[in-house]
Parts: sequence; structure tokens; C-alpha cells
Amino acid sequence: MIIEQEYPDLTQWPILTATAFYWVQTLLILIFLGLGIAIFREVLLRFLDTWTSGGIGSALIDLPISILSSLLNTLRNLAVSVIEVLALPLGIRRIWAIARLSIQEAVRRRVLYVLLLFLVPFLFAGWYLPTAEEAQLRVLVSFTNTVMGWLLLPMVLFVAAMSIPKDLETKTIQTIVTKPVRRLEFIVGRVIGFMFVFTFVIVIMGGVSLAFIYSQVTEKVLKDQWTARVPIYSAPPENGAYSFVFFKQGVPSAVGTNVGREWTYRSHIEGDTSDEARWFFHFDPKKFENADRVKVGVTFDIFKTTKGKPTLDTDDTSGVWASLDFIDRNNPENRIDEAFRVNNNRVTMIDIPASVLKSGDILVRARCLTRNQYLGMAKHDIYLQANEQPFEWNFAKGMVSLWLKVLFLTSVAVAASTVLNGFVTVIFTVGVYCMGIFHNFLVQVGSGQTLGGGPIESAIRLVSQMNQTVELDPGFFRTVAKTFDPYLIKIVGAVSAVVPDLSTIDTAEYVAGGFDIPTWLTLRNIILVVGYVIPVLIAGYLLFRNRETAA
Amino acid sequence: MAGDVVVEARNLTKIYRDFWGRKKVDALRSLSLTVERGEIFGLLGPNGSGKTTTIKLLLGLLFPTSGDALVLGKNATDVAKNELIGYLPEESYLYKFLSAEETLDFYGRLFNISRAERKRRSAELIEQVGLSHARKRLVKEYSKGMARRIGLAQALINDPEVVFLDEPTSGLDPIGTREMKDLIIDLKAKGKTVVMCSHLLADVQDVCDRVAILHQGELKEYGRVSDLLKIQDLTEVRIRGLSESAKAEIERIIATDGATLESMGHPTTTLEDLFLRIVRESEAHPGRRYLPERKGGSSGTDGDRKTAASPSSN
Ligand SMILES: Nc1ncnc2c1ncn2[C@@H]1O[C@H](COP(=O)(O)OP(=O)(O)O)[C@@H](O)[C@H]1O
Ligand SMILES: [Mg+2]
Repeated sequence: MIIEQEYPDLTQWPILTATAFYWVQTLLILIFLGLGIAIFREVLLRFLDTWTSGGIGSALIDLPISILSSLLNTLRNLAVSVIEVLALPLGIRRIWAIARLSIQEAVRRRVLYVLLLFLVPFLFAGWYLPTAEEAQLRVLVSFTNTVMGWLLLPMVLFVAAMSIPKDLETKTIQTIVTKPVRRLEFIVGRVIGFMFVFTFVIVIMGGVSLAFIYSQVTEKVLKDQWTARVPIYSAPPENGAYSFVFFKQGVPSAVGTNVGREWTYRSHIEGDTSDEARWFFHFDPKKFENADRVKVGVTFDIFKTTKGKPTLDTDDTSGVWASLDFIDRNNPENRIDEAFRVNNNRVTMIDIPASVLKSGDILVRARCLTRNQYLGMAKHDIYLQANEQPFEWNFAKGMVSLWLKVLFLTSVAVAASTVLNGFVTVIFTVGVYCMGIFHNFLVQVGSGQTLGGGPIESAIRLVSQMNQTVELDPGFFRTVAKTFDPYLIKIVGAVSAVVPDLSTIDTAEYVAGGFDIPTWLTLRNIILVVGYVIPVLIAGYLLFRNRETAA
Repeated sequence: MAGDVVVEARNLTKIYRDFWGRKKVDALRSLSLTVERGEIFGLLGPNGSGKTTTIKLLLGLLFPTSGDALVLGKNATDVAKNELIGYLPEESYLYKFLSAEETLDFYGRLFNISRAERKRRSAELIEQVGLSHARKRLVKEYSKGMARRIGLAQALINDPEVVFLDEPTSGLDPIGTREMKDLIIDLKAKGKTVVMCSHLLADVQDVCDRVAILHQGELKEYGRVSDLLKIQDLTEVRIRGLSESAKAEIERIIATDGATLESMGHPTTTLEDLFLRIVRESEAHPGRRYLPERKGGSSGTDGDRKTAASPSSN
């Protein structure tokens, strides 16, 4: 597995602050947008009314009064809303009543039959399964995740987006809001009820998926890959900024030799020279206290400049060789040198004695031993295996990501459905979800970094099939594009600030790769999504509060 | 406690608009009225006259275009008032997948009523509205009349102070109608305040203490049912055994003839007559409050006003 992005530890405050700031920012943007529109509409309507009944003069005189009263009204409303938000815990029993109703509804309307539908793909899946042992788990995990996603997401959308519009349409909402239940309690109760149902569905689907994966993999995969390794990656030494450095002819450098690969994740060192790469490890010495031997996972990339001998298991001189030096930084005498043949882009497990790691402060030096060949390496290409967790447990942790996506969809759908009708809510929610999944692209467009210009310019290029790097021909379309694109880009930028990056909560890669999903990652994901859901629900509440429930 | 105002509308105006904010219907124009504690107040008017709109405004289900709606001294949109009110909508909008018992249990939960109390009250109410035989059946299997009954039961689950009933007898058979009326009178006997609306005159005449008659969103008449039905400029005298010769000088003869004066007063019209007259009058002169053909009536004098703003309590 390859980690391109660095996640800081949860104990580091910046990420928490950043996430918290993110909620507040989202909340404020949504609230002010909504309130602004509401006030504008109210003032405009009153202005037009006064105009038609009393002429433009009286409408103009009335305008400041109308603006002022609208503002005051809004402020009073806001104050009440704040109180209701803070008083939410007091309504726990009413919230539960609504949640219970939602569960009853799902059960009695036989929504859960979707579970039967879920079993269908598994009947035929066996036909298409790969036999290559390396690919099995990856394909199976991604297959089950895809099936779960494709069944769950439409179900979630349907159930969550249609509920409040249906309450409004059948007017059942009128008997609810004339009871002491607060609108926020109603929204939260709905979301909680749905999440009970969806959690149940996820647990069943996850269980079936796991059993299915188990039944499909071969003995060897069960033995080697049916696990969740807990890795320790390199970390900067106490006085240094880098956890990973290259040395070219004895000079430290952030990158190694560029061999012209497009993907610059790894940098290369040349074989049979003094070039080397160094990793620093810094961990709690107690980690390996009781261990005798420790496994080290190494994944390097081979870049060949000569044909060389093909890798033959029978011939030790074939292939590309590397050496790793493990050195105790507190006691350089305590070291060990391992040479091994590199598995191109695949993990090689090396077994070293635990004694060399006992100080918790280790330097690892890597060199390429084979002349004329290059080895590509990056920060996460070496890890010490601290522990192993059961695959099943890791799979369950992986389900948390799916659960979080479902929570996200449910909340957005419920909040949006307080003002949109069911169909529009579905479209809206799918839109937000896609923007979350392709958040990177959104950010690129929003910061004007995409090749081929802004949205209009790109559309012109698309229609006219024009090369992305050639300037547009001068003319009407170009003028339109150049005039409006900057604004559109700004809008996209604003939207990208409001939609969370959902692509980062995916953890299937960990499960499939046999790596334990770090607790901090799960926590971070929870904070990200829950932190988003709270303002969304509050925004939904404000919208709901300010609409009439009888049409 | 007479004189204790529990529901109040002040210049309540409602304009329905479409999505773009264009005016669709002027449903209610500057309605002002008060309902006092312990009375049964009727909103009367033909279909589309704004009765339901008024009730929804009083419940906070709709927001007024201008004016204020107050219930128990609180703004209609204040949730806190809901603890003490009950509402039976025009049609019973209930969750079809619940049974009668579950329905009442659910609404009881919204009032934080304890489990034991919920059980007791729902059993009692189901009994009271005559649904004991169907208490386990799903609401979706109910006939309109049965749904109406369970709708009423849900409105009373919290033993409310003020009950709003929108067309309470619609969909009920004659016996059901009678039972509903008895129930409403019963509520009054328990000191509850009832605000109901109906287009059925008999309902209103039988149970209401006071009524407001609406037509095309305007208040046309407002007062005690007994007062409204009095024909002020007529005096009805019923005399038994009056001699033929005395007929010409009736007033003197009553005093001197020794006949028994059986009753003497203003004859009453039926509400139906009044109603039809108001509608005819209103259609002939839209925007004007009803001017009855009577003298000295206190409530008919402000007919020239564009809107019926000030109610005159009789
Ligand atoms: N949601 C709505 N949108 C537009 N017009 C409405 C709406 N609800 C009611 N109306 C109109 O408002 C007027 C009063 O309706 P309503 O209060 O329901 O009358 P009633 O209950 O007295 O029969 C009618 O003309 C009706 O068509
Ligand atoms: Mg009505």
C-alpha cells in the first residue's frame, strides 16, 4: 500500500483546530447565505406589495422600515434558534419518539427487503474472481465495497430524501409540529432513526461480505494476507525536520536521482555507488520489548537501465539487490546489515532481531547493490511491523467509512428536504456527494489551476474539441468566457469550501492491503464527517423553522 | 374565568403566494377576534372562506402576511404553547403504518408523558371515541369516520387547555356527529376552550357559544350565537286564549284582558337564514361587513369600514 499523503497525529492540535474551524466556517456560510436570501425576499415582496397598492413613493418610504423590521425579526429568530440548539439534549425523549417512528416506518414499509437484493451479486460473483493470489483480497474487498455502496446509497437517498417531503405532502407534519416537539428535535430524530436502520443494514451487509470474502480466498492468502499489520513509519529525529533523506555522493538531499518517471512519489538511488537513502525511526522502546524478532516491510521500485539478468529464484545473482543497515542511534555498535532481492513494487518482508530496535531511536540506511540499476524509494516504503490485528476487526473498522458516508448523505438529504421536494433533494444530495468525492478537482477548478481555463472556457474547448493548451480564438465566446469564468471560478471555490473532502475518508485500501486502519485516521474521519453533519443539520433546522409547514 | 382571553387574532392577514412570490389568493383580510377561556368558539363560513387558514395561523402552521396570532398569550409560532393545545386537522393526517394504540402512544411520547400514563390515557381515549374494537388495527385500514375519531383522540392525548377542531364532524355518520358534539360540550364542561370551524350550520348552532362568520376571507359577523339569531326589530308574542275581539288592540288587551302571556321576545331566525343572507349580501357588496336589517344592534354599525377590524364583544 502506498500512502502519498501525510496524516498528522491526532495529538497534534492543528488538525483538530482546522477541522473545528471548518465546521464553524461552513455553518456561518450556510446561515448567512440562507438568512440573506430570506430577508431579501421578504423585503422585496413587501416593497412590491406597497408599490402596487400605494405607488412607488410610499414603497420607497416603507423600505427602510421593512428592512429594519426584517432584520430585527431575523435576529429574534436567531436568538430563539440558538436556545433551541443548546436545549437539544432536553428533548431526548421526543427525539427518540421520532427516531422510533422512523425505524417502525422503515420496517413496516419493508425497506429492509433491499437486503435480499444485496445477496444477488454474490451468487454470480464467483465466476469473475481472479486467481492470482496477490490480487484476490484487493479485488474482493473492492467488489464487496462497491456492491454495498451501490445498494446502500440509493436506499439511503430514497429513504432520507423522501421522508420529510412525504410528511409535508401527506400533512402528517401538521400533527407533529403542533406538538411540543421542536423542529430541530424532529430533524435529529429522523436522522437518528434512519441511522439505526442503515447501521443494521451495514452490519448485515458487512457480515455477509466478510463471510463471502473468507469463502473465496485461497489457503495461502488466508495464511499470508488475512491480517491487519500495524506499521511504524519513519519519523523525524528529535533535532531534525526530515524523517527521510537521500544522500548523493555523501551530500544530503530531499530528493534522489530523477529517472524520468512521471509519478514523482518515489525518488531513485543508483546501484553500486555511494548513493543511499536514510530513514529515521522514533518510537516507544517498549513496543518490541517482548519480541524476539521483528518483521520489516520493504517496498521499492526498480528502474532498470540495462537488461540485466531476469530474476530467477534459483539464481541468487539475478535480479536487483538492496541492502538495509539498521543502526541504533544511541549505540552505533548495535547494528545489523541485511541484503535482499527487491520485489519490484511489491512488499518484501525481512526478519530482523528485535535487539537492534531496543532503544526506539533507529537509523535505517538503504543502498542499491546492483550496478546500473536504480531503486526508487519514498518515506513510507519501509515500516516496522509493531503488531498484527485480525483481518475481521480491520474490515469492521473499514465499514466505519461507509457508515460515515451514509451519515453524511442522510444528513444532507434530511436537511435539504426541509425546503426542497423529494426529487430535487435527491439530485441535490447526489450533487453534493459527487462534489465531496471529487473534491480535489473542485479545489483545482476553484483555484483556477485546471488546464484549459474556467468552466465556460473548458466547455467551449469541449464542444469545439480544441486543444487544452492553445489560446482561444478571439471573438464572442472568448469574451464571454473571459468575462464570466473568473466569477464562476470564485463560486466553485466557495462551494469547495462548503463541501467536505470525502475522498480522504476511504479506508478500503488499508483493509485490502492488510494494514491496520490507524485509530487516529478513524477518529479524524469521524470528526470530519460528524463535524460537517452538525452544521448541516443546524442549517436544515433554520430552513425548516422558517418555512410554513402547511402549504 | 370569564374575560380571560386565550386565543387572539389581531389584524390577521394572509396572502398565499406562489414560488416566485406572486400573489395567488387573498385568503384572510385583517381578521381580529378573541376567544375567552371556557367557551366554544365557532368559525363559520362557506368553503374557501378562510376558516382553515385562520386555524393554521393560530397554530403557527402558517405565518401571517401581517398581523399577530396569539395563543395562551404566546406567539402562534412558539412551540411552548403546544404543551397545552390539541389540534384536529381538516382530515386526519396520521401515520398509516401505525395502529390506533401506537398512534396515541407516539403522540404521547412527544409530550414526554410517562409510559404508564400513556397507556392509561390512550386506553381511555380509544374507549371514549369508540374505537376499542379496532385499537390494534392499522390506521390505513380505517374508514374516514374512524380516522376522524382517532384524530380526535390524538388531539386530546395531552389533556389540552385549548382544542382546535377543523371541521370536527366531517366524515362522521349522524350518530358519530351527535357523539362528537356531545364530546365538545363535554370538553367545555371540563373547563376547556374549544375553537372549531365548520361549514355545517347545525353543528355550530348546537354547540357554539360565540361565532365568527367569514366569507371570502373577511369577517362578516361576530358575536354570541343567541344574539346573532335575534331579530331585533320584531317582537314575538305568543298568547293562548285571546279573544277575537281583542286582537285589534293587542297591547292594551294583554294588560287588561287577563290573558296569559306565554312568551315575549325577539323571534329567532335559524342560523341558516342568517348565513344565506350574509353570503348574498356579501356577494352583492364585497368587502363590506354584514348590515343586518335591525335597529340599535351594536354590532352592525361599523359596516362601512373597509375591514372588519374591531370586534364588538356582546
Ligand atoms: N396552500 C394554499 N395555496 C393557495 N391558496 C390556498 C391555499 N390554501 C388555501 N388557499 C385558498 O385560501 C382560501 C381559504 O381557504 P381555507 O382557509 O382552506 O378555507 P375554508 O377552510 O374556509 O374552506 C381559499 O380560496 C383557498 O383556495
Ligand atoms: Mg377548511
